[in-house]
Amino acid sequence: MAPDMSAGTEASQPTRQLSSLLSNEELARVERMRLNPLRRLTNRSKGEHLSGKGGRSTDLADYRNYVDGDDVRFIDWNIFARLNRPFLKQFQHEEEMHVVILLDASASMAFEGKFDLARQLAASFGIMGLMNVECISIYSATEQHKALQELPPCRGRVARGRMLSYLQSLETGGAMAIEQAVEKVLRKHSGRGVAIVLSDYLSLGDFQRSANLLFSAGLEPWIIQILSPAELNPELNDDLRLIDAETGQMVDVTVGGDLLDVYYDHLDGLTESLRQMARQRAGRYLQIDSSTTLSSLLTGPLRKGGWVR
Amino acid sequence: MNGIGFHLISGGLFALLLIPLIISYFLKLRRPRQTVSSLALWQSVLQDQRVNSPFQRFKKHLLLLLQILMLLFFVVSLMQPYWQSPADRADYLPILIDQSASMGTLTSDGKRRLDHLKEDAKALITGMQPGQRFCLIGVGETATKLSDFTDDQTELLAALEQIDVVPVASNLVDGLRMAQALSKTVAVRNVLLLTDGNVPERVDFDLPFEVKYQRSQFRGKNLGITELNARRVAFDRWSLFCRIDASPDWSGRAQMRLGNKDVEVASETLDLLGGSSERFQFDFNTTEEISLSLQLTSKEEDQLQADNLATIALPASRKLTAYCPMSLSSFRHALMQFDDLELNSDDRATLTEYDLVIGTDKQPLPAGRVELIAGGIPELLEDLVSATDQTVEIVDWNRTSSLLRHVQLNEVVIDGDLKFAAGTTSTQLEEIGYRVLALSRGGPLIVSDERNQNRRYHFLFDVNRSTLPYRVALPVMVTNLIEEAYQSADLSEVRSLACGVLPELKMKPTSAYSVTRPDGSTRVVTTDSQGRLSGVLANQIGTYTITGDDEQREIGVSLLSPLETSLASVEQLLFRELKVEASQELIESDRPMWRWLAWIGFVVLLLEWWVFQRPSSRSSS
Repeated sequence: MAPDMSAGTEASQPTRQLSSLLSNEELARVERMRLNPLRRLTNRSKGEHLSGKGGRSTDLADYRNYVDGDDVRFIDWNIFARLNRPFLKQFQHEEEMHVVILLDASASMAFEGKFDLARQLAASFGIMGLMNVECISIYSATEQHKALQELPPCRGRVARGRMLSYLQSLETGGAMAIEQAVEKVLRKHSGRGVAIVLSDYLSLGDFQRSANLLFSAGLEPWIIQILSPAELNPELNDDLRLIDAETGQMVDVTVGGDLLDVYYDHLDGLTESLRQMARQRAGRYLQIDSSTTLSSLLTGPLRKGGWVR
Repeated sequence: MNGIGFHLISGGLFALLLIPLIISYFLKLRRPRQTVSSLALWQSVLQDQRVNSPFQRFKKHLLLLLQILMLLFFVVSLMQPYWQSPADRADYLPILIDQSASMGTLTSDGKRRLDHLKEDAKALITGMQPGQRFCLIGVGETATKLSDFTDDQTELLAALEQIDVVPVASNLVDGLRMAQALSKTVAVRNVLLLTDGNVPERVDFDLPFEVKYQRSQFRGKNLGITELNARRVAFDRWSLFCRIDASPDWSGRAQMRLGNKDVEVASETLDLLGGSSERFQFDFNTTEEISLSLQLTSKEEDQLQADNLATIALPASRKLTAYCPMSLSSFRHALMQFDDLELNSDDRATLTEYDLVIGTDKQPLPAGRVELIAGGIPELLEDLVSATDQTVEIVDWNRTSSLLRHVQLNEVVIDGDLKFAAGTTSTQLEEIGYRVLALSRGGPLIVSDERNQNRRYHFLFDVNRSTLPYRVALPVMVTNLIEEAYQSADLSEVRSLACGVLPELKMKPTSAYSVTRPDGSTRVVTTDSQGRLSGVLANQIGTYTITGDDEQREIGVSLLSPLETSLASVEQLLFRELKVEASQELIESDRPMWRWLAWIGFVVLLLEWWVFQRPSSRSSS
């Protein structure tokens, strides 16, 4: 891996942070990490991910018996001369993997650092992809009736700065549901790989259809749910009128009784349904407290859970 | 009639508190606002709560409903609702509480029967309804009104505390008469009788109201003295008789001790079966005035102590004093046959008062406890009876009178008959205090009257002009007179007195006497102009000492009631016209409901706290 020339070179000067999203140490750490998808979903394009099928590189992978229809150019004639039987040479083939990152930037993500953590995670996943010569594209969902903010597919280290700038420029707002955002992404997207969806998933819609669409599009769904501490453990000390930050709708809640117990039941139900959705579609699910630091996430659940390596 | 009534309708005004309650509830609905990231989860939570609630429409305002419910329960409690009893409501209820000796019987828990009845009465008083007024009457041998009709529970409870056991036999009639007197002033429809059932079964009383006979069922083992009397069999010798009764549950052995203060005179061990009764006799010699006590002790459980002690005071022995003039030689001859008799005649009258005086109306006579006037018509009878010269025989006489017991007068011939005046019968004589003891065909021959507790017999004919002195009837008659004089002077027979009121005593006129009761308390009483001392309450067992300037008398008082000793309990009271069955349960009265409603209101309060204020038992992991 080439050294980062943009980093500060003089020890006497204060170290310049490349991005406000990731510290230099975190940046250096994620550059050494790789995404670890469960399946080999790659594009035809040349890349650094080994394809599941044979390729045309110079590295011999294996031999197999010749069958009718095979390209005779790949018959190993030396072996044919010795054994008088045709064997076909197989070569390794490395293809690129398309990493789609969908970032929920609706107003609900603006609470208690959810969006900041989502951007940090997006930046980390993006850098991992770029450093591994994957194709990275990032979408951000904000306003319901507006187009997605998009970082077009980019590859290689050169795109790192552009990607970080794009992420830094994102702001929260709007009320686009994550399901709607997924559909909009898939209308524009082509290519197989991994779809990382960063959201709180607190919407009234059904994410199951979105998961099906991702799966059928050849994208391995990585569902990362970011919830704030107030959403995980709400504290209600008085009767309240709750106002939805996105829609402005109001709900009166009366404190006491089994209200919180029912809330926890529903939260557990949502968590479990997302987990089921991901597992049934060969994907992954992770619930994150927005108060968790990025470092602990990278070294903790992401690495130990096999999300990255 | 069953139904719900209210004692304090005006308490319903507190229902107006609903207005500020509802207003404050809806004011409270202006809740503090809090912006959250998404309502998606909350909406599903609230929807789920509504779906799972059986009263979805009310669920939204369940808190308000609970608060209204709680307030309504408290308001209705303030209105003091009650469930009307099927029985007629007794606004004025006299409560007769038996306080006779049997009520002092100890029960298995160490309490007296009276204490249990007082607890029942206390429950009745504390549960009395507004508008009801109770009057407490203690019933022993007589009735004592302990309180007026009042609804003041404090006064009634204080009066109830005053009730104590009186060692007397039960007598319901006085208590019922007092209730009847009270019913003249207020409308009394029911009278409640609280007793252990140890009362006379037959009650001679016409009921102007309904009696609720509330009997508490007790069982008891008891042995007691029911009789104690003494008879002088010689000048210096007495025979003392006592009767010991055992209750039906009694079994065991007891000791009987007869003593004079600390000196034991005699003792005996007795074995009695349950329900049996035995008479015992003690003989002893004495000529002095003496007070004896008979004490019954047993190692067995003897639950009534009041009947274990009986006292009797024996007078000092002395000769009977008699006066008879020389002219009545036949009577003198008969009197001289008796020993222990001091006989005086008209020429040697040494006393102003004699135990027995026999004389004629032709000469002045000294005073006597028993007098016999042989010949002459009393002044009061002069207009009703007249003498004739006819010779007659006695055709009828009162064989049960103390003078004529065992006397045969059918062969006595009298010279000089007596006839009733025209239109006069024995009834007219009885109306002026004379009782006819012997009759001829025309009129009375022997009459008696009683003046100042002294008995006087009148022979209306001249004894010397009859054959009576020659008949055996005369000495028998004199013997009867001697016997009566002995009894009148308390020299031959003494009975232990039962508790209640001391008998009328003859003392010095208009003199003050100090009456010392068995517990040592003293009361001063004054005799009337005729020397009668009466009305001394004797509600304690023991010896009463009456002390004057130069005179002292002792009177023993005991329970002596077979009914109380038996501890029997009657199932029903037989009044003149109807029967009243015993009931084990307290009289039904209106049942107050406010306590229950207040408790329900409190439960609703707890429910409201549990539903709305209880902290969540679970936290998110």
